[in-house]
Amino acid sequence: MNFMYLYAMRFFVRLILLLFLLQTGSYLYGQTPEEPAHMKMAVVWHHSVTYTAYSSAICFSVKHRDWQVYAGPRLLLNDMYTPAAGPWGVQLGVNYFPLRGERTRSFISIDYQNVFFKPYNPHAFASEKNNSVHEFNLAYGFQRFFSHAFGVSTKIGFGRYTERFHDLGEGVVRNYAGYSGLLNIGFFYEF
Amino acid sequence: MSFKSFFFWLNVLAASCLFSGCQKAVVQQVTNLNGNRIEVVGHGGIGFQSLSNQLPHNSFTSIMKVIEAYQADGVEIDIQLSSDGLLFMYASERLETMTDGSGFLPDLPSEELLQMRYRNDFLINTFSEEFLCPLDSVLDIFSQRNNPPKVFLDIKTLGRSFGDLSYKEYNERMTDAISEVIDRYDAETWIYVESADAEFLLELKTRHDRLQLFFDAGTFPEDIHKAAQHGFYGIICSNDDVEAEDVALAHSHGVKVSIYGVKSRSGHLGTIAKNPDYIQTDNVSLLQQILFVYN
Repeated sequence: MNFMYLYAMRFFVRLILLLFLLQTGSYLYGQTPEEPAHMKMAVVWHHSVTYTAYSSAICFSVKHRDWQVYAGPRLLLNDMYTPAAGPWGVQLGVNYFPLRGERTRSFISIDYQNVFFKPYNPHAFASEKNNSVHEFNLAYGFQRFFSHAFGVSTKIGFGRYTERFHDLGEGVVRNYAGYSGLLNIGFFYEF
Repeated sequence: MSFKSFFFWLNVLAASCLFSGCQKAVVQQVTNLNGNRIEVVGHGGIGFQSLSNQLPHNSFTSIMKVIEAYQADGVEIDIQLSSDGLLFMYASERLETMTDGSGFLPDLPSEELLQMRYRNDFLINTFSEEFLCPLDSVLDIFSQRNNPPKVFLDIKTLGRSFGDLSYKEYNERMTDAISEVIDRYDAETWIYVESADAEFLLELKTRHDRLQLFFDAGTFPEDIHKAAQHGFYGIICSNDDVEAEDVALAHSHGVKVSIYGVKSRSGHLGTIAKNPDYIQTDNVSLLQQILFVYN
């Protein structure tokens, strides 16, 4: 199974490289249309692999010229974080588009994701407290339009995570931190 | 395609993805020698490394987290002895399997081993911050807890390189090292020792008669009888090898059973149905949730 994950990751990296070539090609042909001055709204269905593994988020985004902000609820699909008690969180971030083609755009992204879930002890889930994981990543990615409104975006990045767990046996809070990463694919509809 | 129909099909796809993995947890009344309660033990920490668990097994953070953060009843740690007699937490035979070092752990001194960093093949955790750690680093902390967790030491000896030592000499040094650790931390009640070598366990038994010893069993029912005959506390076995009837036979001889090799929801449900006393799981949180919902 681990090899399957490894091959999936390699496939994803190749996809990113392929999109990079597409972007470079479109940029070299000088297709850099001006963005409209008005704001554009979009719905993005994000799928991410980060330190906390797989998650899905439905985000609403607003784009103005070269900037786009997005935010929405996030559901962590990794059952190592007590699925009975969530775990829900938020994904939000900012994209900046330095390069634009007719259908393909590259962007730099600052992405933040968190998730909250109930701490466990051998007798109960402690309902009055929350454990949390926060992940910050700096990413680079591409958007590709398949029609005037529908498209796909993908990005890869690295960053840090911090975790906050309640050690119910000792009655203290434990903090852990480390390097994180981000692989993300999103399907968007711009309207 | 209109926006409405696009969103409708998006929802259908999302719902099918979310519910495809659902399985109703049906758990019968557990009957075992542990007060009819299955204890949750993290396998090498919070479980073997994967994309959903990116901490290397037997790493310091993984072992600390399973007790401090996940509140497991215990943790299983794989143990090997360095050439200068320090106990290290590491599972694989060769160092290059999981670290940036190479060779066999028993061939190398602790000073060199302490510099070795865990690798990670899962891209996300490219910059690993985990190093090879001695057993003392976690026992120092566990021994200070109000209730020290159960620490299952899986002694890695059979079929390995032992540096300049013979197998017998390595085993003697391992026995001395384990014995010294148990004395130092006054840990006879919370350290459990697992090995496939009955002679090694018997030697430990002569030094610490209260120590809980687990015989690594592979053939049934012969190994159950062997464990009962030697007065071992229990047997440890792979989930693929053991059946409910074997567990019942072990219990009838007063031998406890610990099962490893479980990660999925269906795997946990099947293992619980065998009535073991301990499950060494690769998904601590999921097992806790199943047992909590059942209780």
